[in-house]
Amino acid sequence: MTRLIAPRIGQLFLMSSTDRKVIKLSKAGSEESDLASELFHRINRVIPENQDLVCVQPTMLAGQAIEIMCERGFSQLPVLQGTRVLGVFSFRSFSKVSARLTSQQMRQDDVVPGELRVDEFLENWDFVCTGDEWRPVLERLDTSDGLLVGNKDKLIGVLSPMDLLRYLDNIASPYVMISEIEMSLRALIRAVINEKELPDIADRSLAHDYNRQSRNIPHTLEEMTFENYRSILSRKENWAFFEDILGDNRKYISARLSRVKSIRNDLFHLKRELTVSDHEAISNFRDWLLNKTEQI
Amino acid sequence: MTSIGPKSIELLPFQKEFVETVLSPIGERLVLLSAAPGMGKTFSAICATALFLAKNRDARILILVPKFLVWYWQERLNAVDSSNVEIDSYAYRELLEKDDGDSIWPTGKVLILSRDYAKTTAIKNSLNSACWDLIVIDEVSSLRQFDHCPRQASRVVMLSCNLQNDETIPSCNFIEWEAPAKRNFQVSRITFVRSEPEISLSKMLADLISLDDVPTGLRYINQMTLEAYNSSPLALETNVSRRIKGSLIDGIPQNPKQHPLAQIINCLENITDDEKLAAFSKFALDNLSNDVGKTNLVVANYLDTLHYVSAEIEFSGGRTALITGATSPQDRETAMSSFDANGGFILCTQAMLRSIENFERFERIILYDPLRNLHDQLLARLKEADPLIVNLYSEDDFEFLYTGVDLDGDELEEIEVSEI
Repeated sequence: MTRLIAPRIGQLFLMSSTDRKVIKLSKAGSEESDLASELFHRINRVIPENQDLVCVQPTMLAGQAIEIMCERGFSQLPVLQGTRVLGVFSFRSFSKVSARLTSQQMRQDDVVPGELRVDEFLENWDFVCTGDEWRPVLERLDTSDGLLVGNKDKLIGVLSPMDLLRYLDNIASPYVMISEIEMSLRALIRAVINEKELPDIADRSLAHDYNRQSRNIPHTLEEMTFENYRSILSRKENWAFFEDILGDNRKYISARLSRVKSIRNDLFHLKRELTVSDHEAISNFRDWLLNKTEQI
Repeated sequence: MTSIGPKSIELLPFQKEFVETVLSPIGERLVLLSAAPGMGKTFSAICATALFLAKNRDARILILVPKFLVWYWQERLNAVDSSNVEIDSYAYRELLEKDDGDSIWPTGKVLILSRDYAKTTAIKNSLNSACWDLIVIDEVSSLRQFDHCPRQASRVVMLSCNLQNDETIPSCNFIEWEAPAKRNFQVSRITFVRSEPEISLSKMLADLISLDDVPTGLRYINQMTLEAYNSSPLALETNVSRRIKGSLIDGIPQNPKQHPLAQIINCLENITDDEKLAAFSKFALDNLSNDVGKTNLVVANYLDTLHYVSAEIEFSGGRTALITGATSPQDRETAMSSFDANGGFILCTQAMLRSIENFERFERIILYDPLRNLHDQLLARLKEADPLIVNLYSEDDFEFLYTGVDLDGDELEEIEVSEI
């Protein structure tokens, strides 16, 4: 797990949860700092962490290869002779060649497409390196339906458009969900507290923090922060406004809001990388709020 | 004092002896260390590893540990400036790409792998093809793990809490540290009674979730749900949501809203009383103004519970800091020293108890949930002063949790339970 912390003395430090040094792996113990590959999104991070690289030999029949693809949920299989990559067999390469076969050819050779060897259907995919950036390869990914990672003699992984989509979704979804949560809270407060009451309620709920810092208390929802929404919602005296929609258990809802607030702050201030449990917490809260918002 | 590079580390005599055994060029290939928790096995092995690397700059060193210990090894090795790296699938791919035909595993740094990752076929084969100068396997539960260790290793060190010298293993240097005499501990108990709505919820859960006549895997999952109920509404909500989203666990993929467990979440929203939290508040928060400067440790089994309790403490005006797997060592240290000076509540998951070095700094340790292995995780690590240890307990909760764990006194006779 890697995380970014605030720049110090004009330098960016990237640290893992275990505070390890940023080390690019190299042979014979030479350590080479590679901040760039840690800071920027590279192909290595886009390949699924536990990708199971399944390859087939050129002599395998197309029908058998398709069976493997269906069973494993793959759209393609790299075809290897020993360790050398010959090409890629895919649903697309199979249909392209099959579509060209005439009944006359099939009668003449006495075969159907599924009985042909996979090397009859090969497509050549481009190779990329684990350290390459993902953005420049977008076009190539679109053209060929995928890319191979490594080189002709050493296949390291396969990169599909879906892998990239999942990766980007994984990065973007917390931001999207937090913004949905924030907007829903705003809508919820607006639905139950009228504009005239809001300044008084804001004064009561936020005075403690704002007066201590000698700052003006915000009086409109647009001026308020996530923490302000949380303070208004969590306050015992205000709960009567919300209980019809949110239920009776104020402490439970407040605790959930607190958790989302702390995740939001860590996310927006790039304090750390979110964990699976963080993702789960914001996704659950977002789904729950969606349900509640539908009742407004 | 033992010096590792510019750093000096204080080792106890028996720890030093173990380190010397590992470093000695003569002696058996296999060194087996068995010792009770809290005696510094892992710490000594880390020192031995760092010294080994300092003396053999080109050594190829492999550490195989449970996933949860990876960070601990890294943190400790970093503290003595010993070059190390965790090998996960990303790092492995980079190594593969750089492979020039010789072994892909670099020398001159400590390579740390989680045991689960090392078991995957590709990694296992690759590890087996390399020649290792030192392999350390931490938290060994059975000697069979030696069979899974890469064969070509000049020295293999295995660490365990409970291994006996066994004639079936190859000749080895078996080191056993005698456990210190057990001290008497007192664990106090706050008993609370669940409210009617909470009891209705637990009945609903018991009806929906069975522990009898179900396959072992499902029984375990069900047990986790009941344990989450015992812990906090937030922990239960997360557990139930997880089950609903991945409803294949329950064998009934369907619309989440119609899932039988969805009613639990609806029910949670309408329970106003949380008697466990109330008992905690009464004990820990009612006299907050008298507790200025005192540091409390709250331990729970679930991250959600920590957030839940933390929100309550903050509402009462208390200071909190959470120590979880996502907390960096600096943040942890900052929180600890700030709390040492000003007091407040440090909240930590069971799994992170290991990261706390000095339990004596706490005035009170509040076990919000029962600890699965109270002695090994906590009591064995207490050195001199005894903080007040408090456990929250309710007869209304699912009782399997308390059986044989820490409060019935059968397994840990030295613990005396008293009511507050």
